[in-house]
Amino acid sequence: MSTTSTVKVLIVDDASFMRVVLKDILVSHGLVSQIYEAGDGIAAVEAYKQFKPDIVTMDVNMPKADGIQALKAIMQFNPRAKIIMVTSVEQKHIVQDAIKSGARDYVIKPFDRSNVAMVMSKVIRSK
Amino acid sequence: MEILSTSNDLQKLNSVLDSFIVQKTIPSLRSILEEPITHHLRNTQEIPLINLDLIISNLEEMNIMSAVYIKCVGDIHMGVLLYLPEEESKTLAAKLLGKPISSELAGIATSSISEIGNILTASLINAISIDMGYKICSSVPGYAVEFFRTLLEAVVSDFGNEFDTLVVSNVELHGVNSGIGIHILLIQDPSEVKKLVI
Repeated sequence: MSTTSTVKVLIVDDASFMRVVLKDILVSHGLVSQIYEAGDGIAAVEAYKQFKPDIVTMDVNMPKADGIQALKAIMQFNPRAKIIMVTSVEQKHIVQDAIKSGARDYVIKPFDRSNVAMVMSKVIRSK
Repeated sequence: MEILSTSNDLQKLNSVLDSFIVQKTIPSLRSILEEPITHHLRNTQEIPLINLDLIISNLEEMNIMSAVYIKCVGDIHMGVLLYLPEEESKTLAAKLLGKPISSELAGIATSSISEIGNILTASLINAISIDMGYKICSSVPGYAVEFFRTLLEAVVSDFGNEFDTLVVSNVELHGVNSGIGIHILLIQDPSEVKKLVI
């Protein structure tokens, strides 16, 4: 599917494999036009400040700084940042902490591709 | 050297872990591999540290394994070692990436194997957390290709056991169509057993 989207996304995950999978989902659904990547929480915050993406997908469990720490740092920089948490751990306390810290939504690994696309679309459209 | 767990406790633990694997781990792997999965929880036993040979079969002894290790901490302390023969891990990576792996596993191929370990471990701790209310955090996955004995010794050393024994559960998962077999060792302190068999 070709895209007419002008949305810039930052994909944050320490697993290059998961970044590829997410890229494939976002591109095949025509959701984004530019994709940036980061492999840990510290690089994520730096990339956010540099590229100012419209939306961020943020893995939770990462080296250096985890996804919750990076989420909090980005929200401090831009309280209107649109961040979707990506987690294989659906423990309530982790998800609740992320939402409380400003995450707009979350998706669970392994991915349901249509659910990822739906959540992304919803968050992209949100104010 | 004292064995701390009763056979009844170990049997119960085996049964509890089996139910968690059926509830969460198998559906996760089925979703990733897009094929039916069979499983077999071989056994749960308490093993003296000086006798790790008890969990090394002849086949495993001779094979170089591709392995992912994840340490879980919090209310439950557990080590998870996912492993499969190196050649079979290439088949798994090829399936995940949708292209053949001709040479050594590297880059995105090793990342895909690590992520399988990450997701399957998370599925298990999700099941424990949801069912028993424990808060558990998992480490970033560590990936290695080594002889199984070397892997096991490294894992036991890293696990940081306070006792002279370990409780080890041995799980096998098989993709029915692809024939891919994934082994998982769940390692716990004997003092942790009671937390899961309440």
